[in-house]
Amino acid sequence: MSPVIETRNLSKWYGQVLALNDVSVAAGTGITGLLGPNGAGKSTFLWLLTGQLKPSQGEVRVYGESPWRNPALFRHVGFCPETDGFYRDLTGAEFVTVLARLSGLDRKKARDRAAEVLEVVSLTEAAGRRVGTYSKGMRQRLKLAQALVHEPRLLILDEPLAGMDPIGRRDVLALVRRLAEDGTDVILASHVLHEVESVTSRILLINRGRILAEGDVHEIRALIDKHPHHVEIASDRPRVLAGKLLEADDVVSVTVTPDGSGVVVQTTRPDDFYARLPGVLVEGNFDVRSIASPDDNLAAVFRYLVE
Amino acid sequence: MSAKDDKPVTSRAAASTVWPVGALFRLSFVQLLGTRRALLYGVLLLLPPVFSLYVWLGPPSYSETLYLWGIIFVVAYLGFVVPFTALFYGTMLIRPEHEAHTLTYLVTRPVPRWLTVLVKYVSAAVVCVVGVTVSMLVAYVMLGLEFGMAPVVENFRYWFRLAGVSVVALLVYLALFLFVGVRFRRPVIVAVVFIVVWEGLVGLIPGIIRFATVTHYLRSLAIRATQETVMLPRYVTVKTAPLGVACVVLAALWAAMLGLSLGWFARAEFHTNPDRK
Repeated sequence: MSPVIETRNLSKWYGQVLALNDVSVAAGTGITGLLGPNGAGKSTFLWLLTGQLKPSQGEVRVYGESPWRNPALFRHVGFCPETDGFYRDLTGAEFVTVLARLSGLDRKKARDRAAEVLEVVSLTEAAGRRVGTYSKGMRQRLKLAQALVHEPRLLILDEPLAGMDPIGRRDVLALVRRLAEDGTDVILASHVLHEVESVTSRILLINRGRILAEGDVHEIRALIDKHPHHVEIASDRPRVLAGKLLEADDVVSVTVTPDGSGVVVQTTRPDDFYARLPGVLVEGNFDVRSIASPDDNLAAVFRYLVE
Repeated sequence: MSAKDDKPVTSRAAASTVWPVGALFRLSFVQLLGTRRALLYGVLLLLPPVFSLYVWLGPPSYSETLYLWGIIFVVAYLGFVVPFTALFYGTMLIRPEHEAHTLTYLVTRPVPRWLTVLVKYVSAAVVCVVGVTVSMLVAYVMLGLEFGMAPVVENFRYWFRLAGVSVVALLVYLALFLFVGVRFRRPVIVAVVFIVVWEGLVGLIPGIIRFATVTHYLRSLAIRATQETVMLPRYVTVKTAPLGVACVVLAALWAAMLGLSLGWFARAEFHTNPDRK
């Protein structure tokens, strides 16, 4: 079985600027998150996936086929661009219908599907209004609707939540999860970590045109064990606790939090540290209120790799 | 392969073109008729009829219907309305879509890129031909206000033939400016320079350099189409090209410009470095 997307030694130059550098990745079915800061090369990567750019070097495959000059492939691919471009004189319903027809749906089917997807993205009431009158959040949902209207097998979303309110974000993320459960493959590009983290643990981390890491969040975490792991312990007598923790060589540093409510430990061997910690706490009779590791959040992983 | 099934996703021959063509026409007409350029286009088309009105309302004319019609056609239509109409619409078919970020929707659909450009060209040709022909008809008939309807009706065949020349001119200029529109970053400037400097000034220079202008062959076509009966301005009638040569040159130019436009667009990468947005 071929992966949903696959690139081999993929590079893209804009004149003298290297936007994507020797990228070899593969993504399977379900949701794959593409994470990276602005300017990391996410959009270039997606433009190559959607045949809008030709690789300068290497190759890109979507369902085993090259997307460059292969319009038939786009019967199965829906693309939600980051850019805020619309035919503003059309109504929302007209916009989605006309793009459905461009995807090969006949007039009636296009109209019916447009109505369905506009309902899915909660734009039914505004469907008769000109797109030029839509708010930013509504335009984002409209872009999502046009990407969904032809029932694609692969949905490629470039920063789909930008400019949306929290409720809109929640709804769209729920929709993405639902689509994936129904068998749609999704590539979700974002620079907001928790957005991606909330729908998938399978990610590609990209920065400066390079894929820094790929795989499950925990697999990626294993790749960065050279970076100290942070553990926050809220307890009484933080200075005494800091001294006890520093007695073993698995701890790199311990700092007392500014408000004096606990300590932040940096360890290079988290497994050894966690095994030792209960004994230290019991022996010293510390009153522990919480133990948390911010590194469990994808944000910490991302920060490590980008830095 | 996706979880939906394990069959090959598609083959290159499978793209539907029937329904997309209708949608492309729809989008094209919305853009062509719904912009501020369309308003300017309307004003442009009104200028020759306004001149015909001036002939009637102004000082008594000592000219004839055919002479005035020849002047109006060559100066107003061939020299101004037709090339600028083609400029307005030829250059706006692709570049504004790129700048408005709507091109993404067209090139990520199962529609061959060349077909997208071809449909846009045909849409623009329809809008331009209909508009210019109606304007020509109104301007011609209004000459009857000054000269009476009898000579207008009697010489209608010459209107018809010159209308045919204007259609040829529109198709050629549209193809040329379509190419300018897909190829250049600032197509309007390039097209204006072409019309004013190349077609307008170089076309008037005596010698063989005028053979390199489009207008030279269009004027030649106009002379032959009216069987040299219509009194066209003297500068038009000097050293014209034979009818066959004019037809071949114009047809070759049209085919080359249209072919280059379709081919270039099919291979174009419209995105630039997002960091420089």
